[in-house]
Amino acid sequence: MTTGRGSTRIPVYLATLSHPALADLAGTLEGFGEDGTLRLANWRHNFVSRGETFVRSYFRPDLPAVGSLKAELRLSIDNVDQRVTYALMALTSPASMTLEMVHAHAPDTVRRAWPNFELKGAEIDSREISGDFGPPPTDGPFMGITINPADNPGAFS
Amino acid sequence: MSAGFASGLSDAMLRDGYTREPETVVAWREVEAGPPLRELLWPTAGQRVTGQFSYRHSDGPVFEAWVRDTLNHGRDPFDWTLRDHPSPRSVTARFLRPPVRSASTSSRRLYSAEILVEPPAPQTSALTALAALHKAAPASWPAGLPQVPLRAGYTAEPADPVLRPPADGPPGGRLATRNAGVTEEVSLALTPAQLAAFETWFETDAAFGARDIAWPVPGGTRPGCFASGYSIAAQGNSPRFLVTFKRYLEAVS
Repeated sequence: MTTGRGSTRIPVYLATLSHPALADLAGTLEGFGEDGTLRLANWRHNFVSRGETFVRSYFRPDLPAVGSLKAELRLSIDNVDQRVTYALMALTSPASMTLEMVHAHAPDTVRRAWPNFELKGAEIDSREISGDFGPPPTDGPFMGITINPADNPGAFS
Repeated sequence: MSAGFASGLSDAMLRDGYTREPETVVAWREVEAGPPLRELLWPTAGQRVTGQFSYRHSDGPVFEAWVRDTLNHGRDPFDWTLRDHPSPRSVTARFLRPPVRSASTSSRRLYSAEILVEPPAPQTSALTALAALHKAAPASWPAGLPQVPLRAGYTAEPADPVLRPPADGPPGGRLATRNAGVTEEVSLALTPAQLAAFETWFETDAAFGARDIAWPVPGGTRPGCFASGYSIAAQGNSPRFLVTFKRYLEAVS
């Protein structure tokens, strides 16, 4: 007998888009905060988590695969009220995005988080917005150490 | 804010041709062996209703004007009543498309309508109760409902556990699993009171189909689960409603 294949804990995805330019949109549409954030919940009603209100929305998160080194994340957002379109048009530099997953019955407990992704590109049409997110660029060498005379002269003396 | 129904007109649909189908709020995912994985996505379900309104010729223009002007061609929601349970339920609904004037008799006009009933707002208590059923033991089938499905419309489709070569390839195949269950399509004829009991059980104990079910079979129970949502149809002048769904029964070990 195979049991336990039914999950009744309902996942809710919360996306927090942050950029200083979004602060200008605060007060124009629901969801934009004075701190330059746009909070969206993948839920049919506004969703309150940890005291913050996430505006109802519909999006599909394509999450990084478990063990994937690419750390790419894609959100496809239903473009019903053009809220996100306004946000993207207001940007002058890449926005950062944090995606979190909570359970609907325990909205204050974050079960999984994908923090500090940076917007790499977006496509907008009348029905859907697709945003590609990746890790922010680093200042130093991205990965690996090579033993060469310039960086490690001691190894060649 | 939803509008009231057209004044002076009945909001009851004809029984003949009435169907209702709850929105599917569970994601089913087939796996190689055994029952499908089920994930609950939403704690309440909207309803899609089809049927016909019947009005006198003199009342037809009133109904058409209400849809066109008050509801903005069917865009706006309106107050409606679901009448297939013993006690009527007040709901908020909207037309999926403007009602079609389908036929006329000498005295009446018929309007075919497709209506979407909005899901009720989720309650915290219901979310908690559903979350408590996470990977719970199988639910029991209610004793007050028919224990045996109708003969009409019954099908049983065994899962195919054999990995078969292409049709133009060499003969053979490999047995992937012995845990190959059966997907049955079953129908039940339920009175309005039984329908209400079934729907309450489906939305609470069965977690909209996400939970394991101990299906009644001759001689005992057999574990399994729902393999689809259900649909409701009125059958002519019969006082019972026909409820149809797919269920998965595990292999007998």
